[in-house]
Amino acid sequence: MTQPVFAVAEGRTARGVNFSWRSYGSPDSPALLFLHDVYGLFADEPLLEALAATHHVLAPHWPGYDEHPTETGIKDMLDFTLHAWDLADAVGSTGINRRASIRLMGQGFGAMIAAEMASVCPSLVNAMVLLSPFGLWIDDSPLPDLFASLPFEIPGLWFAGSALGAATMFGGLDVGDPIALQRFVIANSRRLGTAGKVMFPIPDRGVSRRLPRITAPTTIVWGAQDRLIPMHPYGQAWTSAITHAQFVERADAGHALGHDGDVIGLAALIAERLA
Amino acid sequence: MKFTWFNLMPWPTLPADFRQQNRSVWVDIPSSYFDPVVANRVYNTYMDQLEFADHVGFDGIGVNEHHQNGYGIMPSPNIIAAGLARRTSNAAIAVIGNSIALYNPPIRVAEEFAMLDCISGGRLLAGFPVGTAMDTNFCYGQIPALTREKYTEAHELIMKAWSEPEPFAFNGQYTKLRYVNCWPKPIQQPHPPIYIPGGGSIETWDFCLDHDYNYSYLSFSGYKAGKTLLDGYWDRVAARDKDDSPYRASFAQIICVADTDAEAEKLYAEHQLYFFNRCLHVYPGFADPPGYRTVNTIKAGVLNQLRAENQKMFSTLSWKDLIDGGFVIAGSPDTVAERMEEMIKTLRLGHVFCLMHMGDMPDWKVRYSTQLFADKVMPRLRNLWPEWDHDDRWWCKPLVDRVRMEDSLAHRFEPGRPDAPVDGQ
Repeated sequence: MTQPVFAVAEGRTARGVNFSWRSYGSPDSPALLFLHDVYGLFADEPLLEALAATHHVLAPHWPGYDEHPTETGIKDMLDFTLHAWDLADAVGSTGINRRASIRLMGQGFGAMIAAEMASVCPSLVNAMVLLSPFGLWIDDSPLPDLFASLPFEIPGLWFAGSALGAATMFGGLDVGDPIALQRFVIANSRRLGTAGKVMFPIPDRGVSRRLPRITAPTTIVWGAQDRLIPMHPYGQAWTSAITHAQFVERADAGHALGHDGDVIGLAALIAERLA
Repeated sequence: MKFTWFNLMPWPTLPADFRQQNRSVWVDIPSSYFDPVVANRVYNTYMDQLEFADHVGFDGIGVNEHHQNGYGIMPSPNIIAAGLARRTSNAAIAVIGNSIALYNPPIRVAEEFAMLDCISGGRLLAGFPVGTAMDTNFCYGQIPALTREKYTEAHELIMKAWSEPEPFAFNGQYTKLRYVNCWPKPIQQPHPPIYIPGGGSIETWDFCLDHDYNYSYLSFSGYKAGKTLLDGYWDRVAARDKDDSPYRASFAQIICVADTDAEAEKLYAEHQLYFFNRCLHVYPGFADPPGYRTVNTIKAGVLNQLRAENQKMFSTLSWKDLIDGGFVIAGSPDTVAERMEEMIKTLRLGHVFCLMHMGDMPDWKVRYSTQLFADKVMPRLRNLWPEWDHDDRWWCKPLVDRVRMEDSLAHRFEPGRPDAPVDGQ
């Protein structure tokens, strides 16, 4: 029997929201808080598994992404940002020293929240990695409407290769089957119902006004084949808005940087940047 | 029984290959199809038809709200209703309704509905839909998971604005008003009858029963498909220990009447197929954004009528399919009366929203069908619920001594003179 690559734990924030979270790697390693993307944590998370060699990766679920209720009173961006800090504090009892600054990484939706965290409390973020973040809107380059996308269209938006995307996102589920489709629709309703509070109809809640507050060294990573948030012009826009930002392009990846392309190489790069 | 003549106000000149050339009739329909000059005639014709329905004896005339929609060019039903209130005297003005989560602040609905009730002399039926995902989320940008919460708060504000005699402060999550002071108030007290259009959401059934509002199932899938959903509603009514007055429920049904069944097909088939094949071409991605429906409703298996599988079906329906499937009740007065009675009894309906203009029907056919229904069908269906004859909880209660259209018309061009009677005498 193979050892699970992550541990699962239950937590409760200071404001009373129950949540579950995964941890990868040893508690003796430097802690890294990871905020997941719109579709949550998949069964396999190769980037987090690779980062476990150098970090204790703490990956909490947002409401709607685990079995806990979605009715949490978390409605707007300030609520989301403070909830993220609550999560950081709550998982901190086993990993993150809340009195010190933290290492922070987010993907897409999670990267947008991470940027908000760093702009609200700049002195509490030691280093940050943003993987193809949502949060900006450029009229000349509108994003696809994620909320109007049909199930079979989603992997093609997310992954450079849609076959890998379908396998990862649906986990073998046949969305042509009505029962399986209903299960997917329910899960989607809970997940995107939550994310939609700060992403619908346009994922721009004004973070651009707050990005200049960020002081942490920030690495912005983008997949050149990202069909969800095009690297040009969004990558440049993010990089120029954050004072100490460095941009990294991943030629072989789409939006799902944690799964697409050379994930081991990306983990090494991130570990170096966070060191 | 109460019969309300309803006009969705479809755009009548969509091309035959609309479905092949476009993604959707709703939300992102190309605006190049809309011609304001044509609309001048279309709007006025549709309003004339509603007035005609009042003239031939329908109990109500109905309008509703849709946005960016090729089959419903009525983003503001209140504008149409205001015109109808002035040019009719008898029929209830059924505004089914205003999507109250879209109004900022929602007090606007309280004010405009109160105006309509005053102008019409107490003839308003007030509809408060949560709204379709197309209108509410994709056209008007409301957040799917918060729409119902915002709706509930708007409802609370409107009802309080109508009932509170003094100004009050309203500190909601979505609306904050230091001074709520609804001028004017509706004639009908404590409020006009409330109709809640729904598409099968369990939460909407409970909302209606919590407040004793009418539940209105507005579907284009007809009475045979509607039975499953109405059965669910009536089960819920029983479970909540409410009386089973048929007037708790309304249903929208497409109806066409001719001299014979054969003439009905000859006159109306092409226009119904225009509606189903072109006007109901809605991109499935717009029908169900995540978070719009609750998990309980999804688990109950209530599928949106505009989902992909239904879209495919709509595109291939024939006239025979429409009739056999109950999508359309059409035929001679005898045929229509028999089918209507079956529908009313099996679905347990006290109110029918009669969809008598559909697709690109020319005006004369609409009037022909409407007149036949009023003269030869409606009288046969009037007394299907004798035990509930006196149940008027969901009908308007107009002033007996109200201003009538005839009175207004009689002296609208009279010049003022010093010896004129004092106003109101």
